Amino acid sequence: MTRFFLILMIVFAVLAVRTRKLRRAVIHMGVFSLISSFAYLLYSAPDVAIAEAVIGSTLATILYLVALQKYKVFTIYYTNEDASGINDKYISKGRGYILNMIEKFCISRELEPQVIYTTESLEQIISEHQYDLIVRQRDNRAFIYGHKENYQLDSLQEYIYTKRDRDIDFHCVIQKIEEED
Amino acid sequence: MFIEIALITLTLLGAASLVRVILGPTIWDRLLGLNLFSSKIIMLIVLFALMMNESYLLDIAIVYVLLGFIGVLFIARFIQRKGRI
Amino acid sequence: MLNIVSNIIIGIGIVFVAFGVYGIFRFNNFYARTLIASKVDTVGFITIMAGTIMKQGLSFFSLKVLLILIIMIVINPLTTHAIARSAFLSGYKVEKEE
Repeated sequence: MTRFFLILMIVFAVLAVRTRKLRRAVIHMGVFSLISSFAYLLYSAPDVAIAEAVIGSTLATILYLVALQKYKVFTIYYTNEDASGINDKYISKGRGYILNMIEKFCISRELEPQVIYTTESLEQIISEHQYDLIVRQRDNRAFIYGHKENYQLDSLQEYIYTKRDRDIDFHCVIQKIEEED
Repeated sequence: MFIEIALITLTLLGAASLVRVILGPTIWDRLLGLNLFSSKIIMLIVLFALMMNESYLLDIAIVYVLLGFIGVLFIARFIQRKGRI
Repeated sequence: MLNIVSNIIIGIGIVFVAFGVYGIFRFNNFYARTLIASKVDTVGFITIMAGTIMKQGLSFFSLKVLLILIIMIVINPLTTHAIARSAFLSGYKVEKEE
């Protein structure tokens, strides 16, 4: 059983290092410290296990989150007009071409992408939530909405037009929202 | 003998809930898997202390119950407020 | 005799926990998984701790286990509620509102 936990520790250490999204890495570090605390217990060192439980699981997580506050979060709302509800199969199908491209753009700009899948209408999202980008997809057309003063939009447009494959039949329209006062 | 079988079964179940941490399509699924795994670890510590019949091993379980949820709570709050604690 | 009964109770608790782990793969949207994980896992925890207390008898050991059980009954639904609240307030919706 000790050997099984040690293998799991190696797996999560590799996952925490290799992932591109920092919040996912924080969760993997939490699992890693949880497993290592139990491994100390199996090696009959309960005092070290208590120290690891206090420091690794609580203090280190909060310290990492305080450090991540300096990182700018880029919030993307994704809505699809074809499907009636959202489940796992829909998410794995829906995050196809356009979302992967936007996430690569965010990582190259050192932004932290956060995709939120929703079924609300466009006006509801604009009035209720803080957004950076809204992606609305219908068949193979995607409409990307962003605020007028968001300076990332122009570079995103340039990125999409230079990097996209010519073979795939996919249209993409970028519009800017002007708020009325 | 029975407790050893229970320990091995709980270890396998904990590994199965870690699959949800690795797969999970959204970040909240990963948090849910982390919460499930931490409660499995607490059960493992209690059963391990029962097998060894040493009551001081339960102190680790008490510390974990009192402090383990703070990490999950802070990550959930961090995501909800878009990057501020 | 009491030993055998407590073994059976711990076994039932492990079956509950196994149902909870099966549930997070069976359902395919997030809120259904949250329901299964919180309810079934808490019931499995209570059952396993009750079996442990019954196996050990009245002693210092079972008093500590009782303390763990009481704290866990308060904290496990709290954590699940925090996760589901964070998902809902961020705008993650799974069904269309009519």
